[in-house]
Amino acid sequence: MKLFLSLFLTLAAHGLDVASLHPLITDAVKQVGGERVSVVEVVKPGMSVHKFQPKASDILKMAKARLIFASGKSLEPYLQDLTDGLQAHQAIIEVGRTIPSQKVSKKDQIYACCPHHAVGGIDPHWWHDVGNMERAIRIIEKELTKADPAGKAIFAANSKAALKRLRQLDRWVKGQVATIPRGKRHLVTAHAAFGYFCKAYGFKATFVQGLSADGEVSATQLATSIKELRAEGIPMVFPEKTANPKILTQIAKQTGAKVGKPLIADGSVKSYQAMMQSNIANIVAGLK
Amino acid sequence: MTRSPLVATLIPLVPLAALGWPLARVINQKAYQAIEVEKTATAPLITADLFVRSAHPFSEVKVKIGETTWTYASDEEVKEIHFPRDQKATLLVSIVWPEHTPETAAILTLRPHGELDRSHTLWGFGEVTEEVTFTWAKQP
Repeated sequence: MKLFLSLFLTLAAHGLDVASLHPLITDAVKQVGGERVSVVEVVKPGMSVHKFQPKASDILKMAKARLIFASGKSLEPYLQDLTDGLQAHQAIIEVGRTIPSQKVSKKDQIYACCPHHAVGGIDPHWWHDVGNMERAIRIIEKELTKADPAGKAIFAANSKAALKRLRQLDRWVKGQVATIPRGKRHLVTAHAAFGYFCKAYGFKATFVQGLSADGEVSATQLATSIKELRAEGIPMVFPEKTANPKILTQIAKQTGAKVGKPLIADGSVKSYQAMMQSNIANIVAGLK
Repeated sequence: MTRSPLVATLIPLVPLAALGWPLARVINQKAYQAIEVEKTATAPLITADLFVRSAHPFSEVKVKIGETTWTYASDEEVKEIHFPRDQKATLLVSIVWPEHTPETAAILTLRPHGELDRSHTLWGFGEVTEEVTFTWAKQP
């Protein structure tokens, strides 16, 4: 009874406290929750979502949060430890859990984004398909409503507006992609981080920077990639922001391919809309 | 006056009988028998969002799966629905548009948890009822 009373008083005083472990999820939660939800950004834009490990200070920051939103699909390998330390009033929501997964094929496992996702891993970059972000918005709406039923109408209205913006974005993406001749819709990136994007928008995907089991790029793998790219006559390769472009540049130089403007793969940015617009603009500029 | 030997013997037994009677009721209970419930074949349910987006505003949409019906008010575009986990879902969809609405289209998008989206477009005017079946490939 005391717990319910304290929860009610907390909600009445300043809305619902939540935490987010991914910048794109923070953006989505803010859009759906509006002023009724107070979001603690544990992983801020620019931080590495692949390498982040919560420190004691991060756990302290999350102490007040009723819901802790994570991206899911094993992007946060520390979630189990976090779950073990949860208080009774807290829950972790893996937003990506019910979004249909795409596996990194056995052939492409050496091109996975990090050693953690290299072995039979599921590609964790689900946000590159706008349809998946629509799913995320609905998941967030439902979870916020469960935690704060009095805010249902606000969350539903905000979610509806967010979905409308995403549909506009999806139409814009498709319109931009349509300006690239069909035969040129071939996205060559360092790692297997754009599988969802390529499937949703009709691109052939090729990855060139293979990782060994310890996350290093082997000389043999480098030689294989160069040979394959030469054979396919790839005109452009796209580096990823926050990843070292040195090896990719070296591969491009030896195959005669140009290096395009960098794409944002891990979503460690403030705005989903801005990330998609930047990626599409760079892809279109490179391939058109 | 002294009691007869029979009464004198029985009187101390009265409290024992008073205690024994309820105890006997507890001890002599029939063995518990579970009530047999008729077994029905129910597949686990899958949760999905069902979106209805119409080019012109509709007055009402009804979606029926099995014995369950979901009704969308004119300002609603999405509902959470449940249906048996199977490789297909058959929906009976009825859309009513207000009078004088020209021939129009509505897109039905089913977005089940863990499965890919499925969409279908319904065309018509006034009132349209259509049976729509969505299928998914079996998971390997």
